[in-house]
Amino acid sequence: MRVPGSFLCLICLIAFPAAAVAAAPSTTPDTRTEVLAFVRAFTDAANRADVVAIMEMYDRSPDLLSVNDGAIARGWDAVREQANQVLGKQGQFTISAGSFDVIPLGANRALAVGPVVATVQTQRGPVQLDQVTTLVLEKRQGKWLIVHDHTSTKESDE
Amino acid sequence: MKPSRAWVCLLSFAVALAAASSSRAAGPEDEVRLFVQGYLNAANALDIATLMRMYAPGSGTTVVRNGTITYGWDAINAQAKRSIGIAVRDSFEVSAEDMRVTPLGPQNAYVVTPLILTEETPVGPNRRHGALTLIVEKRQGKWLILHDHTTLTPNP
Repeated sequence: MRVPGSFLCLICLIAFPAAAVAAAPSTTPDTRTEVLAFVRAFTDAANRADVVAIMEMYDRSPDLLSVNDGAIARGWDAVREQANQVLGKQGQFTISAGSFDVIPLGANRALAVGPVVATVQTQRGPVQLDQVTTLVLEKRQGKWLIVHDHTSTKESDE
Repeated sequence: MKPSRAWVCLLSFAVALAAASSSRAAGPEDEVRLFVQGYLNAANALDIATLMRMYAPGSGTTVVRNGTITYGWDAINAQAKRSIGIAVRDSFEVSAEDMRVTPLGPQNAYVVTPLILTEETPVGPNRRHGALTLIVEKRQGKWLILHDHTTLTPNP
């Protein structure tokens, strides 16, 4: 069973180290803290199979692009359809995230990247999947939203 | 450490995308398209030196290939050099189309494009679809890659 990766995201963020290039922005405590909270909320919602809460965290736009193991879902409705398929099965998987890098992209946007381990319950017992998730976030009216995500799973033969 | 095939794909899929890209350069979106085209051209030419100049220097730059993260410019450079051998030895073709560039303010943008990798194998061509995400930033008038995430769909 494969689990679409965008629903198998994150948690603990770590501060992005100061960039070597002077022009690079540093991670402000507020941005890091807010993104950390966002990611924690996202993970909690995924683990309790709360599709409504998950989808409220995505940009409600037909331009939304979500990539999962190379497949691109286009638009909020398509992402919701995926979420319904996967997250309607509470208890079949859990996710835990490793250390995430957070990079501010201007005042109201951020990039978050980090490893995620998904534990999927199968008929042969639990299976662990090593994944990496990229999130592009934008803050609108005080609320962070996912405007793009990309998750990939490590291939077993790699 | 075995170089990822996903890394190899980035060393080749320039042609189709470059051909499809516009040559005009009016705004940030067009600048980014040209930047990505240059990146793909360098990759297609196996020009690692040029390619690596397009990544932001420092430890914060990240590259993801099918679920594996490489942290920092130095490690990415080493990984790219290791992949060259695979790129030369393997027979493959990558095509990409429908690249989307989305500005994130005046200095940043993200790029998403689907791609197709066709590998020649003893039993015939193996065609895999995938996708590429690039997060880029303009510093001192020059676009640089902050983050690059490439995924190929799993083999059946």
